[in-house]
Amino acid sequence: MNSFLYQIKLWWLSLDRWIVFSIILLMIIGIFLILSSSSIYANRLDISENYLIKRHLIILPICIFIMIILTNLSVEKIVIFSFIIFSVSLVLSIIPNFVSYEIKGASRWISIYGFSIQPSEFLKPTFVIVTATLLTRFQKKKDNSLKINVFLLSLIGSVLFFQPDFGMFLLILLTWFAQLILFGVSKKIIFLLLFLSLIIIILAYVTLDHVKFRIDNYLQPATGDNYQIHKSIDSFTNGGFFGQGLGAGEVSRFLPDVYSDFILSLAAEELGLICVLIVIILYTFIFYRSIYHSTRKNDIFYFLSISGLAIIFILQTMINICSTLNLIPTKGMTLPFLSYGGSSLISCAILIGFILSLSKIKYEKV
Amino acid sequence: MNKSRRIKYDNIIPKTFSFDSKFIDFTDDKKLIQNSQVSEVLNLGKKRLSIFSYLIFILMALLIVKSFKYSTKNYLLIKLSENKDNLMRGMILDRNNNVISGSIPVKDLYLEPNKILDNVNFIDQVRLIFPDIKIEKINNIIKSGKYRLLKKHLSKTEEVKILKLGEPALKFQESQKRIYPQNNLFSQVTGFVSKYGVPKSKLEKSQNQNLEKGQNIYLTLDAKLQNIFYEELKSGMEKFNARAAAAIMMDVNTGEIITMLSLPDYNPNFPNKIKPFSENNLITSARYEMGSTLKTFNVAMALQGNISIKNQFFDVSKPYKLSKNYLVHDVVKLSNQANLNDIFVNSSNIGSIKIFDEIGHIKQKEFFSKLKLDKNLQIEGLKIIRNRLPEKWNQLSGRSLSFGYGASLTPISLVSTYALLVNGGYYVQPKILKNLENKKKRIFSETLSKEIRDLLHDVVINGSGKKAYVNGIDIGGKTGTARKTNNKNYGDKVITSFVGVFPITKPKYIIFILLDEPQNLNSENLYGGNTAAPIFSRILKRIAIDIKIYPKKQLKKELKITKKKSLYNETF
Repeated sequence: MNSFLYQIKLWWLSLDRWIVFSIILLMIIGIFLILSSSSIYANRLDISENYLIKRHLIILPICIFIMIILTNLSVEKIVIFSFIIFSVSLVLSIIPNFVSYEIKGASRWISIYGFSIQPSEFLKPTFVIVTATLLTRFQKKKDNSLKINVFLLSLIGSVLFFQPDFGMFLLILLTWFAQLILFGVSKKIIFLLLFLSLIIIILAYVTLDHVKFRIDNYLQPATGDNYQIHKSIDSFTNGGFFGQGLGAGEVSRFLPDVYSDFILSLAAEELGLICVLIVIILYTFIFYRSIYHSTRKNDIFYFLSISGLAIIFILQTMINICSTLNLIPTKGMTLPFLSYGGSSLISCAILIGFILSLSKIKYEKV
Repeated sequence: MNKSRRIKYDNIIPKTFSFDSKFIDFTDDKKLIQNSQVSEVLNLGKKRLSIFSYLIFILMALLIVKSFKYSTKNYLLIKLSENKDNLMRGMILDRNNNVISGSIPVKDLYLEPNKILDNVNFIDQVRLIFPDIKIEKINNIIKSGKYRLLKKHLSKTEEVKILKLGEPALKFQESQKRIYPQNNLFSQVTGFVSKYGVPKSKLEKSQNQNLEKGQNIYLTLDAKLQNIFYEELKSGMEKFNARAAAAIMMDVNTGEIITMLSLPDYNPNFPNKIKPFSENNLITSARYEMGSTLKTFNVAMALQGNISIKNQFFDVSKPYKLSKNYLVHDVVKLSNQANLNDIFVNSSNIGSIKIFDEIGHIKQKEFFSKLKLDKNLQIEGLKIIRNRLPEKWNQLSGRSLSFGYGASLTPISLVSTYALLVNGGYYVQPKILKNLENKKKRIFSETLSKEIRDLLHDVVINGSGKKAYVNGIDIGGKTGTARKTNNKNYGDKVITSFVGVFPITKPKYIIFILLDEPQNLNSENLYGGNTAAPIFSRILKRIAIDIKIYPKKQLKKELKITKKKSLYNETF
């Protein structure tokens, strides 16, 4: 047999095909939704009707390519890769703090060759690997690794605090917290950290105006404009079980961020409850597959990194769905593989690439 | 033991991040950080991970339940409306009993599939009458075999067509439809009712209990005046290309709100087409840093504390250094010998600070709470957001407050405070529902009120509010221009406003006009005096006859003309 084809076959068998198929299914649903929202967006902003879907279709192959590359790397290279990406994107996400370039009141984006990039998105998957590496090292050698990890976290915190991107920081903090709990720290420290994060939330409420606005808006719905949320829930109601049909949505088209933050309302209205259920079940399934892989190898690094990646993935999804359903204040967080947005898509691709790569099953020659 | 514990904590959270510090290799007796045995760590981790995954499973299940609930809401609602006896929903009427919001009886069309006579042509025949009903929808109902809603709110012609068809499977059911004959005019006050009869916002929602019982609600608003306001405000907003605009008119003695208007607005007859940000009533649910209009409060405070301040002179010729890099300038340069009257009439920022310095921030805080600006204004039927006053009330924030910065007020609370100052010192509770009692309470003396009225009158005669002048009517007013904040810096965008009180000798009404980000003129020329004040003047000219405030000399002549028909009905 041709050795190259044989290698491809080995590579394919080594992957978790369940996760791969789930991701592909999500991407297909995403393409349909972006296709529908791209005409809405075009009407609103007076640009070419295919603008969104074109960009989306350019980025998806890049995502798949990134995932293929990552699955071919060894564990050591994954660690080195994530350290490099982590430090580069940390440096890059400091830049928007100085160069003012705002979208919706937050300076998170930097512009390179006409593409606006949100570098802080890439912190998400890489920091999980960085944390897992450092914690594992600490477990073996009892050296400064834990200090360095805390230092890096506070660095991220201060960078994201000034952008301001409180949602992203909360996500990273929660995941780090989860990893630390999985690392086996005692309950005393868990309570100490809970207390600290409570202080951070209160601090954010007091100092950051937009966080305060959103929380106030959530607690007293009568006062502010809960326009988005009303429409979001109405679109669920209007969709019913099987939806109005692709492109036939009436309520969700008036939502401001229908192509990113509120894409699930679009799905609910146009493709119906059935599509929402499929999407939620797919995300949950990916999570449980990853959890299974994390416990399969009896190694702390694999355990911490895969479970951390799975947790950050499911947390992001849950935060998005919860804010669509008006269970928590709106956060400005995308839905993995469904929402439009280059940085977030590529970041999700890196995340799933890591999971697939770390959960590889090694096949010997048969 | 204590010592060793301290060392452990130091190790976890080091005070300084110097990496060359000595590391203390602790023996983790209490397993505070973690166990050194890999297998034990993993076992504990797995146990905790399983707890996590159960939690996440429960949360995901909750999300599914929640979305299931929202998605099936429609099906439930239809069932509910079938059971309800068909009591007509009450109307909302204005002060002259014009209908603002009312219900008309209509019929809904239902389909009972097992009674269909002509199975072959049924769908085509129905689609001939209602081309917008999808084939799939009819097919689904036929398949289910159940009695289901086919079309809400039939028109008369549709009803006749259905009757002509003579299909026993199609059945009518009594229903009602909410209509708003004034279209956009009261959208911010009434809110709207959804297609299925669920009240969605504002009065329709807050007064739902009474409306559902069939009781009418009478408002203090006046549709005719509201329309004049609407026309003039809209043309003013288009002229200055403003982002938003708002206007309110109130009776200063009874607190009745006579017009209340906020642009952009929407048509409550078509709830599906509501655009973002048009749903908010800017009068009650927006806060603005008002700028110069707050100087009246500053002067009132000075006069209340010390009446002899009127004869004092202030040096306002040089810019005032408010903070390290912020100089306060004046638009109209005054000499170094300016009295309180000059300062107020020419709207001097420096002068306001100088007057404030005589009083101090402690008394200012007391005065603002006397004006009830620190409390949440409660009006039955309206939801009003809280004013934002300085959090740290010190000399510096007091100085900025003296010329109108550092505090954001809702337009309605500004207007009710002005009413308190000019009506002889009575606090009147504003109201929008007609049948509420008047609450009156004296807060200031008549003499203070007289002083304020004279000052406001002077502003329109000699000062920044000249363009608000209407021949024959004595007007008092104050202009306001405030720069908008953008990320804690004050940019070029402005909010301009005008408060007018008339007749100033014995005040009866107060009008407030606000323009958000007016443009089109040179940026130097954008003040309340030349954007909001002319709108006020035009409105007052048109409404003077209706509210029976006549120019002094022409009193008798005008009385005869009052019977002339208004343009009101032609506008829509």
